[in-house]
Amino acid sequence: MFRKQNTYVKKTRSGGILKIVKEHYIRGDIWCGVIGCRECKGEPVLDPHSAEFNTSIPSPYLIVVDTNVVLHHPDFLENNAIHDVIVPQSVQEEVKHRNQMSYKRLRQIIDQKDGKKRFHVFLNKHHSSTFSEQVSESANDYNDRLIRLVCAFYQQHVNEHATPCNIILLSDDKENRDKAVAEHSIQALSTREYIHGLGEKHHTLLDYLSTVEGKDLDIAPKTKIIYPEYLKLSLLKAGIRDGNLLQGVYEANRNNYQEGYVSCKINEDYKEMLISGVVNINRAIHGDVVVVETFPEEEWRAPSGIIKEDNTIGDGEEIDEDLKDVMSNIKKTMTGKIVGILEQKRRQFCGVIQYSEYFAHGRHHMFIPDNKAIQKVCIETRQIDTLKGQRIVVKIDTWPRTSRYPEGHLVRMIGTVGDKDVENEVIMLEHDIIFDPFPNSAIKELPAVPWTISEAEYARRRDLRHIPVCSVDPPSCTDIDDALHCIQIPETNLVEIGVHIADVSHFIRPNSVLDTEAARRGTTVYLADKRIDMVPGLLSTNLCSLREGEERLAFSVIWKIDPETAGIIDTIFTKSVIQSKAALSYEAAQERIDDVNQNDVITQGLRQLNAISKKLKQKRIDNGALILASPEVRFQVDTETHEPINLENKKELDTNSMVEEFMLLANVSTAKKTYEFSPNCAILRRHPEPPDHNYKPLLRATESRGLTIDTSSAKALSESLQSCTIPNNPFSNTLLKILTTRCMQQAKYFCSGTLKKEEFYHFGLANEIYTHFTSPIRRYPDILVHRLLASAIGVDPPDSSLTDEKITKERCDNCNFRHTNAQRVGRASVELTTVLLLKGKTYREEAYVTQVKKNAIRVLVPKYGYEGFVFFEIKDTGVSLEYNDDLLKLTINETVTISVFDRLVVEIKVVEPDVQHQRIQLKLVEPFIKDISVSPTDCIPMDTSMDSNNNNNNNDTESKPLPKRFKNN
Amino acid sequence: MYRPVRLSVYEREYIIGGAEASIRSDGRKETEYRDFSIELGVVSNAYGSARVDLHSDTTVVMTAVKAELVAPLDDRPDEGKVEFSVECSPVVGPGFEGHSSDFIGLGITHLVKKTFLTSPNAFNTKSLCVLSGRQNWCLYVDTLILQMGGNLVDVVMIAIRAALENTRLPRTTIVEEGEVPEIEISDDPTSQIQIDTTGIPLCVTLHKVGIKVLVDARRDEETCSRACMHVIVNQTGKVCGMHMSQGGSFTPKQVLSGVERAVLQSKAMFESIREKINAIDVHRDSISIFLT
Repeated sequence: MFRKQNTYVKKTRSGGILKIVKEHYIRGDIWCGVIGCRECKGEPVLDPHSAEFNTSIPSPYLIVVDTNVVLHHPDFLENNAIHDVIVPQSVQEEVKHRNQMSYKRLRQIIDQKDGKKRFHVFLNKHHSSTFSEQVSESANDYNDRLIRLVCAFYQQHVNEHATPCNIILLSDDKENRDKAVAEHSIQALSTREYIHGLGEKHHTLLDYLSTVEGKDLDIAPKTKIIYPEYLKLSLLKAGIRDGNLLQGVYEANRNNYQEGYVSCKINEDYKEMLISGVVNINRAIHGDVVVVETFPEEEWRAPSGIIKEDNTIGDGEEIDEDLKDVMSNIKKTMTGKIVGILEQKRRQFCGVIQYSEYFAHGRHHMFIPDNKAIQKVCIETRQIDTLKGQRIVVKIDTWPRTSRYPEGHLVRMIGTVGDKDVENEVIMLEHDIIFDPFPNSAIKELPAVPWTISEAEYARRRDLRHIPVCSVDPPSCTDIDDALHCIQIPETNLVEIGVHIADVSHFIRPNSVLDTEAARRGTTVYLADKRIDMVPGLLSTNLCSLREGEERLAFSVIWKIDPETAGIIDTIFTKSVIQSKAALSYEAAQERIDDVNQNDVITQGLRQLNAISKKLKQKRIDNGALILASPEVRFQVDTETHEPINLENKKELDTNSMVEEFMLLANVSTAKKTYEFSPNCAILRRHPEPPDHNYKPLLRATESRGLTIDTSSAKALSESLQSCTIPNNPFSNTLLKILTTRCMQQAKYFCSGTLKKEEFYHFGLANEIYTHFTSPIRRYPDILVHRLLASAIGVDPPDSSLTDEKITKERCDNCNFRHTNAQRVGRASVELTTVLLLKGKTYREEAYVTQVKKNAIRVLVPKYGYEGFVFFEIKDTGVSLEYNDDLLKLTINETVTISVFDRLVVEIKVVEPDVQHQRIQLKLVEPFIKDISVSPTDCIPMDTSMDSNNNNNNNDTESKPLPKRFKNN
Repeated sequence: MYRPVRLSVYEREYIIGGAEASIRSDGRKETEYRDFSIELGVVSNAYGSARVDLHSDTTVVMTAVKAELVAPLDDRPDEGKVEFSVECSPVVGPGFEGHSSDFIGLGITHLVKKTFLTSPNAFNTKSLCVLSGRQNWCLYVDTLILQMGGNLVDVVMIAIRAALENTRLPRTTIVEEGEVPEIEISDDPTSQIQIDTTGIPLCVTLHKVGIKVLVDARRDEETCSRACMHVIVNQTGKVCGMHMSQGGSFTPKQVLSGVERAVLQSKAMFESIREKINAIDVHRDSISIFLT
């Protein structure tokens, strides 16, 4: 063994220069890892005799991989057909240095101890036979030489000390392969050659190869270059510093692939820059951090307003044509082009293969991502017949300047298109939802069942078991996290009202595995037919759920309230033990309130609560709280097949609003208390007032119909919304509220220390301060608020992380991210279920226009809560369209004019242009326009089919609970 | 520049008398230099280093060169800097702990600085220019005295020359994209810049013991010295400077013959250094140390 010093010079971030010296030990007894080696003492892993049969090399053989193979083809290496591989340590180090993700995946393969992959890391840099110093050669050449030395060493080693076998070098670098053959007479193959040698059954492996490999070597000079080159990084940085170039995130227009926006910071102000045309977009993909150059003002353009349904990027001429179209418009905005990409946010995308008979025998196929903001990707596959009709995951590798589309490769198949589980997985993958099961270490932390409340717990909690507490929730709700009570305080005219929230923080202790897992998930995710829990089922549906008749731990807020004015006299927070006397549904609670014959203590309490809630609500509205609407629907699901059978719009009962009011009250009281206790680290929720330009689309729409909406203040907005309606259009008011909702900004969690007190304001609720306290089973922030409140009232010492502003801020950010994703996935799931429900059926439904575009109108179908475009094909039909941008009117054939808020009748059905595409198509029925509308003769009477469906299935269906979502919070 | 040792009257008599009779206590002639050895690369995380060992009554000195990129002076935008420092290590002996020996190091530091200041051709600071007006190399030449056996200044100068000869700076390239040019450092450990050391002078110190003038005095001889003269000579044999330390005086004849002797002596030393460094370079690849 001997020692050597390795020295190298490094430039530090501050510009200094450091000479670093490392000691390097070299020895002769590092084991080779080959089974049957008589010389080496280490654990043998590699089995050359089980090598896959390959026509290119005689078995037995072992593979040595080079860095680029590991970097570019991780999916290939993960395949089961690839095993018995030697990974030189120098390769592993270089991979780690170049790409963390590839390194992680490589480590996962190496760490597989089930004996199937048999990857062995050979410490070549420390073995005296394979160690070599870098002489005058580039770092790349040096690494390649080290790899060749490994091959040579192994070849000699197995020949001398084990059963002789072939060592092959797997490398996509031709020069490296040639040298291996010439210098060490080692066989060398490219990945492609190797896969070809494996024979027909493994040819699908080629699909998993990345397209990066070898491409730069053979750009044929005749290939047309489509996209301009990016500027060099140093120029980009200098440009940003000097303000000539702007940096921002590219956001593609979902409705038009030739258009996108970059929101850039100009003088502390965020402005959206329009990027128009694929050449100007210059290979940016939605979400990339890009650098843009602003055009001179005379070249500015206006957004095209055209909806392009199919995002096939056409030929050059077509692009020009579109640009001309764009040029003709008047209202111009800041326009620019992308000159560089700083950061690629390219994850893997779900989607389908575009299948066409014509190309069926080729290898190159187009992949259509489900996310409309992402361009089509060109992938190479030999298994088109297997892939068609499948949901697949594809990763984008490169986008050469000569290629119209980005190039990518297949990562994996999920399953058949249209299968409910597959589609559910797709939407969850697309929205970054964590849906893997809870780890065993988390399950182990759960309390043992049957679980009982210990004596110590009774002692430290307030005993409220005798109080008539009841819960009101959607029907068949299993995770009941709130319950209420209301009793008269004797000898006064005051009432005592309590809100009891499941004490989840009792079970989920800070920094436990359960806690980390819940924090990671952030929220429970509700799909139309499925729930992905934030905490394991034992807690969410049993130990924490405030079930009827069972003793449960709770965190209670108890007020003394004057029932006349609904004013709060006194507030107490306490940990408690409760026993719910009744778990009611909204309907059941409503029935009890309405039934004059029922006069038990719970019903009396409910009536009192209901009366006070109405006063509370009025107070809120007087303060300027908004009452908005969103098109929410719920599905009835077949208990056996879990297929959706029917859907109904969410009904609003008094009891819904009653529960909502008291939850709001509890949240507000908690927010005040925790903020008082911890002014810097309270977790609060704010809803900023939307900036004026957010209202623009709404105001344009209302003005075009002669309506006035006052957006000067929340109260004015609320009042004008209540009164605003179009005659003979009863739905218009709801529609207005829906549109107003879309102008709102998102409510967000934040750490109180990070903002000024004025910014705490919750616009929608018109509250100075607000937080989430009432649903700890399904929201992580509530658990944190519970912990904070527990320390505020002195029952628990505060965990150190609760008083750390930085940690709190990070937690809030994560919760916001998860919350937004959960909402989006919920909507995607509703849409998916609607597709499943409508499949094979055609309905005529009432619809309302929400937007008017040049060649399409966007309509909302209230019955399904579905919003989509109705396109007007003008190409071959000879239909004339005239679009009035000021009045938002579209005149068709000079006879029929459609404007915003109009009531129409549309035909709604699921179309399948081919096996793998299913989408909802809307077609105009009423008003009737020749060549555009569906002929009224084959009219299906509205609603009847739906009703019959209803009657048939009434006996064996149960409606699943829709997530309890309060509209305003 | 030295610290006297305690001598008895008879020892003193013996040394002075011997010198006058051309017999030095270790048997050398008055013009004879002790042999020395050079080791290079002794400080692995410095850009260059050397250890010089003057044999028999040993003087050991170690020099390390470190480098940093610094902003140049406004009036000299294309010149780098060289900073010298000499320190006395406490390992020299029990009397050298704390700050008690600082004056020795300071004295030599001043002398070295003066040498380089007064002989502008000694070091080409323009060769240290990386990016004119923005960032140039600054070399820190730090010398540590490890053992004291007399004739410190000469040995320190030998060590400085050897260490600078051993210095390899990383090769820099200037990337001139965008507004601000940036310095990039070559990651190839074999591509390095060597420093031009041809102008770096040596020092020959002469001591007047009795009526004789001795070169390469030992500590006991230095204690008996009545006057001391440092003659700075460069590779071409030119005298670049002379300094006197301590009191006492030389006769004009002594000065003239002393300078002559110094020039001769330095020539031999330059050659000796060259030979020794070349001998090391031949075996450069075998720096690895075998461990058992």
